[in-house]
Amino acid sequence: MGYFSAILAPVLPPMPTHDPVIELDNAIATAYMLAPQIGADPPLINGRYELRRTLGRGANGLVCEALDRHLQRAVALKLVPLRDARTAHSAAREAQTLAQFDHANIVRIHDVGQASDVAGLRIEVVYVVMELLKGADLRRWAEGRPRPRAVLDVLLAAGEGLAAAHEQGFIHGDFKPENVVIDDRGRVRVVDFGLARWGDDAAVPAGAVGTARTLTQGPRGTPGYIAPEVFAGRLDARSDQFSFAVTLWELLLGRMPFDRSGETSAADLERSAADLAAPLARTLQRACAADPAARFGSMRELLIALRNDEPGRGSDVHARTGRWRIPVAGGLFAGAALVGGVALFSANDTAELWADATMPALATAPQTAATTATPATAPLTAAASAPPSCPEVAAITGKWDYTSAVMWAADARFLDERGFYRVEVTPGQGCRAAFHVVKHGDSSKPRYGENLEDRVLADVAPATDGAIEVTLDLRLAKPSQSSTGGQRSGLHYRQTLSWTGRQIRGDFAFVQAKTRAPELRGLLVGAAEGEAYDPAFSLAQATCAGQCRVRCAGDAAAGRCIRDSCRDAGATAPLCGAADDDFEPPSSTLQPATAASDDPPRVTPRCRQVAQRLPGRWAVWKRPRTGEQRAAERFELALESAGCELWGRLQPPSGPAQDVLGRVDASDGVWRLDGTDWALTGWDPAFGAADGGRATLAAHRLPPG
Amino acid sequence: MPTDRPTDDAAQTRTLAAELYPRLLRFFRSKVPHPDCHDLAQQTFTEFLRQLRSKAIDNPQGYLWGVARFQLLKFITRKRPAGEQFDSTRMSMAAVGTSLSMHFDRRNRITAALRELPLEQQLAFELRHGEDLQLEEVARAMQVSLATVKRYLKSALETLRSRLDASEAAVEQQAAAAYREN
Repeated sequence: MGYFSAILAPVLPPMPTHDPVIELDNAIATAYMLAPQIGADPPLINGRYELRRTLGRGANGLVCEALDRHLQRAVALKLVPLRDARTAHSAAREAQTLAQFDHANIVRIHDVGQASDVAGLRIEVVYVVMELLKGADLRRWAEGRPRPRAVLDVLLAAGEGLAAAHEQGFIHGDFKPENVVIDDRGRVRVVDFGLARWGDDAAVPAGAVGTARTLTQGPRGTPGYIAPEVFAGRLDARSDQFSFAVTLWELLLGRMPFDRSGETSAADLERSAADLAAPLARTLQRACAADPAARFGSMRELLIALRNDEPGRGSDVHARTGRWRIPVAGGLFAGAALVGGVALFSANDTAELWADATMPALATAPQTAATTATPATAPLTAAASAPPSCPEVAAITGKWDYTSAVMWAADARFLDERGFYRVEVTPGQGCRAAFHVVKHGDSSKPRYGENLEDRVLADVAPATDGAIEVTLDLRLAKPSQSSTGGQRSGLHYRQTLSWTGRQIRGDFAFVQAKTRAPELRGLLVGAAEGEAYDPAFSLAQATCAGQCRVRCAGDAAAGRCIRDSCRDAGATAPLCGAADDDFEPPSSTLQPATAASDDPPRVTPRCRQVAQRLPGRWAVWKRPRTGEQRAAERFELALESAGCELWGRLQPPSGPAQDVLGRVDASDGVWRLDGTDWALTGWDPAFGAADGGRATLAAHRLPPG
Repeated sequence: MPTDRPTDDAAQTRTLAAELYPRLLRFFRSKVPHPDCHDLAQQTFTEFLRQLRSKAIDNPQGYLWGVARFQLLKFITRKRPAGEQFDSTRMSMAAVGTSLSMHFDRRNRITAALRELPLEQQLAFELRHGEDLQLEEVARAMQVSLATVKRYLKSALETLRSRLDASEAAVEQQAAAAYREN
């Protein structure tokens, strides 16, 4: 399949669309794009009209720029997809009567027809070929802040077109700012006349001949401009009057006269009318009456009333301030729009651009208050609303409970020790938060008489696995304890908490105050207050970084492990290897054995407990702490145990394997191997010293086999 | 017009266009008016085809949307007054300028709500829920981390839910449908 196979081979999810206008838009646009790429023919309508560019799209059809190949002239072509060929034929017949109507304020229609295939798409369409206007619709024109008098003049001209059409029996059905164009000669032209109805799937659009008609589906006009009776299924020339009056009102006031689209209320009109000069307000209120019978008898009457109400030249249509308001939802856009004098997305003034319903709309819902244009110097980078709080902090704000489990200890007394915690998180500045951590019990004392607690601030950040991570440097102490010498007293814990939804996991280290070496390391598991969590602990379920911190000897080795292994979400840390220079072996492994080797070994529950954890295969890294040769050596150790005795085989990096014996110390649980001067503490990982403390040991359990 | 291309190239281009071009169109239609949306879709697809022909692309879908995003940001920057920056992590298409005729039915309230999100959140949401890209593909297309994509999606969903007063599942479904109907 060539170089496209990589992208075509996986099946893309289907892109269904039930909207024939969208299907038509897609088909035509694809045809435009393909023509120069592969030498395909441009899309043609009935072999005569070559579609060049889509200028706009409305609810019921597309408007394209096209070339009339017969007359070699550029035209605008509206395509309206319809239900079937019969409907298309009826609509085409009607549109042909529109083509006979000629008025200076109505766009000229050249041709009408129907087609069954457009750009390779089998679809029934009616097409209307019109003058290609160069100019801007009223929406765009209004962005240039025309004077209210100019607005009136333009609407009166458009109104003339409407009135003439009504007198010939035509109804527009979708009058609004986008459907009035001022061309490059300054002429006002109403567009999209009588075409909005075709989208409603009616058998015969009879409204064109002046009779009120019943719509078989919902109104196809534009909400906000649709007269109330249209929602009830009736459309006549007075519906156009309503839409016209709303348009004029909006362009004068800078906002729609009604708070909510489609729902007119006398109170809304009263409020809006207060901003206009009284005679004008009364005229528009009447034209916008909910009951069509209360409106003017005809468009012509409305125009006469408007002309009678015209303020004298130089006066203003507004009741109070006379200040022109631009119908924008936000001052920022107005500021941007006024820079350079054109709207942000407008074509230039001579662009051949007009469309029915898709021109940039200034007003966006809700339109409850007029806004004034801000100066062009307004800070455009300012957000329209207050900046949001840190989402990570928001996600973890609240109370959480968690349990700790010791995975390694310098002293076997802490084997499997549990701690019980509550943390309350409150937001701080930006992505910092305040953490109130309370340790309220442990394995040996499930409920403390006086809790250990601390309050710290810390940064909150997302981790590579998508969780939210925080590292807390805690001094857990009883509230009754006070700081000494300006330093915080208490037990030094370093906890890294990782939130995923309502669950927490993490790791911790208890740091010995004098040596700063970790004495305990372990894992944390928890959940939001009141929610259950599984207190089972395993390194495999820890975060990748947590695995590194628990299993690696020293911060340097842990940092290297995190950097190398924990880049991707879901990563698992490998074996850590030898200790780095920053590692201090646990002090217990630097001490001699508590009992002479030839004494009968004592058996205690503690040493038995440790010995039971040790059988299996181990990788042990030994690294000198001083001297020139500092390279680490890797050994493999296979251990078995009985009571507190150990035996097994030790394979050095080179040379033959040797048998070894050893035991677990009865008091502190340190395990020693005879003949090697090795002392280690822990059951996975294990750390220690060799050669009388001149070398460090780091050991990880290996998988069986 | 090129006439010396192999016929299978033309057929493949046509098939590719049929699959991808409507998606590009709806991506741009939700942000930019006619005819600019068509121009941007055409520029994106042309660039994509050019790259596809000249070199192997690991993740063609991610690459396509990355090009689309880049074209959109270039377009916005071109339209901004000189010296004014567009911060797509904070500013929305609604703040830049409206491009859709804002009807007042439910579907367009959703479209309006999408356009009022900071652009990066809107893009992440549309690519994930409208175009069904995997999270990693969205991250690649937008050239951000996976964690950042998740944060964008979370923020977008919360904002849409409060704007539209609907459940999370309903918002996802309705907003994706509104996007697909562009």
